[in-house]
Amino acid sequence: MESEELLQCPYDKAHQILESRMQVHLGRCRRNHAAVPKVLCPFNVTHILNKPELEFHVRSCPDRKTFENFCNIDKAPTKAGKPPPVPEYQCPENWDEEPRVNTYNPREYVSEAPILRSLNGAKPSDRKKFRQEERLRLQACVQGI
Amino acid sequence: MDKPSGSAGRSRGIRAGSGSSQGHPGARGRRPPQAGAGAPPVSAWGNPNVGMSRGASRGTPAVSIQPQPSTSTGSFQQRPQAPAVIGRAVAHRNVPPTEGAQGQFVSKEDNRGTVRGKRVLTEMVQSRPKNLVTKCGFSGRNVVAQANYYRVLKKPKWSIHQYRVDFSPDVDMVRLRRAYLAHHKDIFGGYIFDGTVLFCAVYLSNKMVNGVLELLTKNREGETILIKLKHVGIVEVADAQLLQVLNLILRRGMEGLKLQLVGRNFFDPVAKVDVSGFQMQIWPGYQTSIRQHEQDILLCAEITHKVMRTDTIYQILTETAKGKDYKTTFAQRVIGTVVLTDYNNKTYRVDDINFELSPLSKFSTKDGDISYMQYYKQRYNITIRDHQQPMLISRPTERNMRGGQNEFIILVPELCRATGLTDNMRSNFRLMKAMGEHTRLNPQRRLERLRNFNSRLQNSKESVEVFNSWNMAVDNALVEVPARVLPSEQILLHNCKVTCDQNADWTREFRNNAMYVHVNIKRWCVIVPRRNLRQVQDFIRLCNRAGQSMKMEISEPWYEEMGDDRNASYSQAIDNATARDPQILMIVMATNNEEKYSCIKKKCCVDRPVPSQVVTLRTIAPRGDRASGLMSIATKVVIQMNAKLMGSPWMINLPLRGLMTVGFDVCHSAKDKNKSYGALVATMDLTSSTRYFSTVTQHLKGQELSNEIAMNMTYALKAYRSEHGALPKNIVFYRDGVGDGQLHQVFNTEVHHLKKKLDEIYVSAGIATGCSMVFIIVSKRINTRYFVNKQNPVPGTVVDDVITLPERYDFFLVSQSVRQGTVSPTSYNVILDTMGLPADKIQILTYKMTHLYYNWSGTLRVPAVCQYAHKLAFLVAESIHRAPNAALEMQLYFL
Repeated sequence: MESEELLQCPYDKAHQILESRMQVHLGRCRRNHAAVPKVLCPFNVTHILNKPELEFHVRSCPDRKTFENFCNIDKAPTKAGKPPPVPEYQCPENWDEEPRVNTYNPREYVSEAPILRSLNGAKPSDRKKFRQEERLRLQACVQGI
Repeated sequence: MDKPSGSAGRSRGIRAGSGSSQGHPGARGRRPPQAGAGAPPVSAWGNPNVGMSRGASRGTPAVSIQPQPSTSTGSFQQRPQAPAVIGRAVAHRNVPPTEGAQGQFVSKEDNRGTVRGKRVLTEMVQSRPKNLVTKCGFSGRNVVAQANYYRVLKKPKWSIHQYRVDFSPDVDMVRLRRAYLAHHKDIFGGYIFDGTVLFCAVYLSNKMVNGVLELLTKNREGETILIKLKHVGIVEVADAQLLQVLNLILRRGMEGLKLQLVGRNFFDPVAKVDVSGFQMQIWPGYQTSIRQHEQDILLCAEITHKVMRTDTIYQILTETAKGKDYKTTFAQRVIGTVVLTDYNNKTYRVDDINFELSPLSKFSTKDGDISYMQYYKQRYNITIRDHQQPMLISRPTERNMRGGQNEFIILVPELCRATGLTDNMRSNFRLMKAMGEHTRLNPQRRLERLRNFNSRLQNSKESVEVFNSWNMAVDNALVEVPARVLPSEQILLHNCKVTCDQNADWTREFRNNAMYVHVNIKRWCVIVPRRNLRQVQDFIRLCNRAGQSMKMEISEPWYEEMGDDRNASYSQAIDNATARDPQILMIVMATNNEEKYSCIKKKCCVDRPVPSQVVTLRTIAPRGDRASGLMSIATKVVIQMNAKLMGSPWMINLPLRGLMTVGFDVCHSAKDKNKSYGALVATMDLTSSTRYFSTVTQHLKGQELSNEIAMNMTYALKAYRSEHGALPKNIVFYRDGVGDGQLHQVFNTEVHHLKKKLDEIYVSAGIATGCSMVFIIVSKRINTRYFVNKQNPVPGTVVDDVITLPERYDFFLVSQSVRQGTVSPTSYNVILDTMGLPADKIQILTYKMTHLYYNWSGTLRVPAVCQYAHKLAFLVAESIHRAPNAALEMQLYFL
């Protein structure tokens, strides 16, 4: 089993990250470096760069392959056929005309219902605060009903 | 049972402190107190009123403080238009006393795409709320379903103290750790101890010195062992950690049923079944979890099975020892397999065999050298019988190495049990059938098993004791859930419409109806080994006839004959054929050969992009009684070829114009573990185009999430634009293959960037509101099952309440019909919605989308685009191993 390559996190040089964990790491690290002005490579969202480097990177990105592939359809040795005409049809219903509604927001329900919640993935201090608030909230729920 | 006229039973979102209005006796839709319904279930909330508060539907004294006009239910949020049948399913307790068991097909220990724990929902999408928004739909016929959940009626009402327990000298075996701690059980009262963490109701502060409680105990050899307890926290009734404790209590209770823990689940060694003729046992077991669901805390119980092989590696060794060159044979059979060692319940992969070593060899420990014989005797009290056997070597995994364990692990064949099914077993039809009989339970049997489980849990002495000491109680009847059967869809063919039958299948309609859109095949080529020419010509004639009955014109093909059927001949023939620019190739393979198939597909998808239809001789050649079935095979082949040529065999009524549905799935190659491919398939507004856009990208080894999803979507939008001259009005994205634990990841790596990118594109195209999109996560491997009248629910049965999760906008849908076993619903989780369709419409749309897979004239368990994406990812991962040629990207060439 060959060992995996360690990559350097774009936000913090000290972060040496396994290639396969990069996605996960970036999710967290991005939050801590929200103010840092970085740009994304259009081909791969784990490629995070400083603005001046972008142009060079885009030219040489290893994931550019699919893009080139997409752009060069016309050079393919055979051509795809034409699709057949599609009959006009009238659907008995039309949802386009119906008014758009607001989407369901589970957080709203959750913040009022007497259910147990936890705040995973937050900072310990936030979690502690959340727990305190939850206790009060649920107490209020229990007493109010 | 009366039918509540309104929805008071389901209103949600009671505001704390303002609940007074709901309980008014005159409240609309209120159910009269039901004398016959037995005592109202005691809530899991300590306060008996809370559990049923949502509807205030029972005449409980705690409600109705201020009398209010009977129309005043509107002062709190109500879920509108709830199915009239049911309030909280509790009310149905006295209708049919169904409980039961549900099932699963052969349960495999495959954790692909799942990550345990951590459902981070803090950044969980969504932004707008306001007035009567609900995740419940209303269309369709209301039915009552029983789900494989039990209510947790009571739970501990007091705080629970949590301690960390350490032993000195260290004790490895959990069983012993438990035993030592049990010597002091009097001071704890009711307690749970999993080996490191102790939960109990008493605070031992007065006995503690410097925050640590030290206890002494003696082991069998008379040595003194010091147990150190450190208080680390308190779990309050309002903490979500209580759920963890409840789960632990349940597991303790289940231990009382004489079940054995294998992996994470409990299995029943008493009820095991021997599969005759094979050294194999099937252990029935239970998969349980207690979770906070929509309104209550529910216990989900699912019946699983474990296939246990009873043969040890030593037995394989003795078998092979009879033959010549046993070392090589043994190595061939054993290397690469995964073994289970009973003494510590762990699995290892065998990487090599050391014939020099034997159990008598010594290795060094910190207490000096010791032989394997002695080691196992001392540590696990196991006597190794054969002193001559070679030893197995397992390389530490990456993870072990990171954990500091970087030496080879030496295993004794005698103590290693083989696991998994070998190819030999898998291809054994008789064995697989025998296994299926035990593992594939129909709804009745499954319900029976669940009932059995529950009654054991309620009646066995030990488990009752555990539950009582923690003041916990589980309901004895299955949860009843309001469900709806969505109306059957109409299938549009060329000149007629047919309504799906009960099984959602319309195969028969193609006998004499034309397809919705067909492409006449005028130039095509059949590649065939010369000696099979006659049989193939017969089949082509049948295809012709099948085409005629569907009003599709299929001209006589030209035949590219090959002298033999070697890979090179196929390559050559495909080159020759494509030179004449055919619409489609039909390639006949004499036998099913993966390598050959791979070679053909590489040629047709990458080098010479042309749609191709591979058939094996076995399927198309008449064999005795099968002559009659050939016509239906020919029909299916014609339908498939039509779909590959951008025809559209059928359509459904699609009430949205300008809709792009997108499916995304990842396939991890079974053979080459280093390769994973993600495929994206998008429709180009089905009402006006029969094209599909598809693209494939390679992922890092085993990676489920895509870094390139935003890029792929821009390609799809570009294709849509060149097709229609405008961007799609709505996008519905179905993402398959991500587990619960990855939701947050999906949001971070995929949805977030996707949304940003698409909004950018839409804004630059002059649509200031950005892109209107729904992103739905599709999960097939879930433990939820539900039944209607003790039968499998019919296709189109939706459940969107009670057993759903409160932090999600989700629903369950059974869209497929199954002939054997229990149908398993698919869970859909809407994690982003900027489209503004009500929940009801999203459910209907999803159901519609399951009708459009052109390889199967029936409904699927996932939306068709997901299945297409899976098919494409599978083709690339298993056969062609590289991105297909872009010239094909607008057709369903991978079908």
